[in-house]
Amino acid sequence: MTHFTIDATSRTPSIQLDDKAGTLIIAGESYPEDVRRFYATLSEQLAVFFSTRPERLHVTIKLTYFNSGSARALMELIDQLEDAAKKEIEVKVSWYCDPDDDITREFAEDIALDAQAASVQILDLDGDTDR
Amino acid sequence: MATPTDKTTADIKALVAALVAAGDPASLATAAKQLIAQVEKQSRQLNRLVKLSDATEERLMKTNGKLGLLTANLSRFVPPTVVDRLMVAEDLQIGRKDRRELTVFFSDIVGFTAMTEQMEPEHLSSLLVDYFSEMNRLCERWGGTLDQFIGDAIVIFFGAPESQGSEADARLAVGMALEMQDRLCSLRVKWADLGHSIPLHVRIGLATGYATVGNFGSDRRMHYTAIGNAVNEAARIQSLCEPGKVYIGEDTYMQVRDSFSTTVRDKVRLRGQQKRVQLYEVNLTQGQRTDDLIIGSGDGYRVFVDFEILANNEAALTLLKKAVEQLELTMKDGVNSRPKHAPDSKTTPTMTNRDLPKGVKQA
Repeated sequence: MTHFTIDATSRTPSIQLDDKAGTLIIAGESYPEDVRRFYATLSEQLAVFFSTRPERLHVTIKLTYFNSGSARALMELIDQLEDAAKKEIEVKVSWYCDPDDDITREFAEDIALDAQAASVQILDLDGDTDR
Repeated sequence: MATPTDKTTADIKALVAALVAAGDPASLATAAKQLIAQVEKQSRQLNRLVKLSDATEERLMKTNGKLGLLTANLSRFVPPTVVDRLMVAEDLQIGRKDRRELTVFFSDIVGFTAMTEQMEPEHLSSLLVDYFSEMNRLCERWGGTLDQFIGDAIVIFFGAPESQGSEADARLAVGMALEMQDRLCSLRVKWADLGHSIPLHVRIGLATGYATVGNFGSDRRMHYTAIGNAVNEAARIQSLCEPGKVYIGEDTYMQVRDSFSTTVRDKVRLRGQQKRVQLYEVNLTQGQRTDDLIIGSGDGYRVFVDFEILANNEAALTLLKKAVEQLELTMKDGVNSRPKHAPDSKTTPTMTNRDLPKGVKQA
């Protein structure tokens, strides 16, 4: 695997996992018809990537809307990243939230509390300002 | 394929298995600690989801509230039938125009210019609000599309965006026009009581024909309207109508002649047409008659008899007989012979949706 990509649709975000650059970008809106299947694919690809013992992974999340099914999948994603970070892979998550969207920001901040080994930063979607 | 939920469940199962298999107190303590941590984590995640779901629901309710308010406000500017269409229409459909057979209603207040000169602006304004509100209510009740108010004139059409069939559309339009004139009789009494010295009378003209219907205007501002000869014809017929009457053109007459009693009026040449068009007055007081229905109204009476429903209704028969007897007495001996008390409410028939003509909503 060198590059894993899913194009965005009206219901699903774009996903770009670049193993050479060590980056994962999730962007768009997320309310897939089959949310479990959609995120399971990403989870599998990440598992393959981590099995190659990479040095680091920088994850960028820019979701303007996600439903509760996707929220559950995102929590599992953070778990998977946390597990990888515990295995001495440097994991950094930049989670961009709409500054006017308190719901998404509070959810992201709450999830960040669970990440001990991985670093999770919450940023403003427009100005990319750390908060 | 493993899913995130499967993974969480598998993690807990593995921890429970480790707990069961623990052979010594130290292993048991470690397994129990891990299991508790995992359960706590799951509980935290569940709480987050509930919190997120509650917040989303609250936001959705606020959005729904705004949407409801917007729809209600929009309905005051755009006909409700058009609002219903806009709720589901794709962009391409909004600009679509159709050729439809319509019955167009055009009304105008008699002597409006003189009224504006003689009445105080606030009196005129309250009178017009009352008048337009009542006419609008009747338009909605009969399923018409209120095209526009042009000064004191009202333009309504039947047949778009929804149509009951051209004949039924014409019947509904004429039925509405008759009820409007009837309602104006009561309103004139009310307005006189309120001190409006100038009685408000209205001319009504109806024409049936093909017109182009759709949203006309620019990309940024559109108006759902009808363009065609039928609209001009209705306006012209209205101008020839006597105050307080309803005049229809030949094409409308052909659609409703079996349902309404009419009187032949002048044969006129309408603008842009070579042949002369026969005008008909729809009789306000002789009522609408079909094989199983009599509808009629005027000052002091309103009749709606559906023989299909009343086949075995003794109470209705008694009431109608009493009304006819009393009317005969009144006509013979004068108004003093009228009953001293209102009829027993138990025997007074009330209108329901079932009683109204097809396509007409209960007021």
